[in-house]
Amino acid sequence: MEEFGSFESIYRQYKNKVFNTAIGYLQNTEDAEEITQDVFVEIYHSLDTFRNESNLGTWVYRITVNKSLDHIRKRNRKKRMGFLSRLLGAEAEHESVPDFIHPGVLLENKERSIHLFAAIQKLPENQQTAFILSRLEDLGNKEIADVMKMSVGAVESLLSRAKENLRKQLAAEYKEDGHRRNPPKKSSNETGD
Amino acid sequence: MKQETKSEQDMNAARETWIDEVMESLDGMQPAEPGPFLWTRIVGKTQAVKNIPAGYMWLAAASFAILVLVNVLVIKPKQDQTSVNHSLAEQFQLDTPSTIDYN
Repeated sequence: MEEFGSFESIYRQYKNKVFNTAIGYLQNTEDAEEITQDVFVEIYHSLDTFRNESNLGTWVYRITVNKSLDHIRKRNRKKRMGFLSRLLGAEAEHESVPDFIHPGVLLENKERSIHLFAAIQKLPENQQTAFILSRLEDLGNKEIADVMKMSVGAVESLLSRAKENLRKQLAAEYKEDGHRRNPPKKSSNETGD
Repeated sequence: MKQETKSEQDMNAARETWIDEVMESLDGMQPAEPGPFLWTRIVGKTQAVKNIPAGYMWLAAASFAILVLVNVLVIKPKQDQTSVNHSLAEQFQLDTPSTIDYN
């Protein structure tokens, strides 16, 4: 049980970081817990190989990012198969992604954050990772660069493109159903949805 | 015409304000926390993989080897028996024609 001493301290130190990062990608509490579990099981089995690495946090984040992205890829493959079977006329379960509200978002921002999380899901993987680590985990560009194994300049560029793409998506969404969208200050109390 | 431009400007301004507010909606957020029983589940999972004794692994390998051996022993005599049947059939010209000659 001695080996669990150091492992437990790593768990205590990183559980929220791992879970919070995973929930940023997966936008589902159960999936994020599953990824958190998988990440720590892998950490437990690979602690010996880690000893050569420089930063524990970077390593933990890297495992989390990889596992989350793998999970999303699997989920997308399933969705594509579902779409194909619907095309071929087979009965398939209709899968709709519910609106995600991050449990840590301030009450007054909850409604607006739904739009942001929906837009984050549509970003390319690298931009998504840079944005999640920056905005959800408050990592600096240097730390993000270490996790993503790229230069700080490349991370800055990814973050800037991510923000640009998010704004574009939100603008398109506003244009599409702007009549239903609460114009920020005027009619927030006029619509019920 | 001028009025239309003005309303367009208003709409654009409203849209930009909304986008800014959405982009800032993560400000002041707290990190999400996993459930209280996750640690127990993780320990259980690490132990489940680790606790398989080497003896069980050998037992599983030996069982598999015996299964393969039994299959070979059962299939081999059947093949021998089939070849004996064929040679007897040929010797006594017992083979039936594949098509029936009606003429």
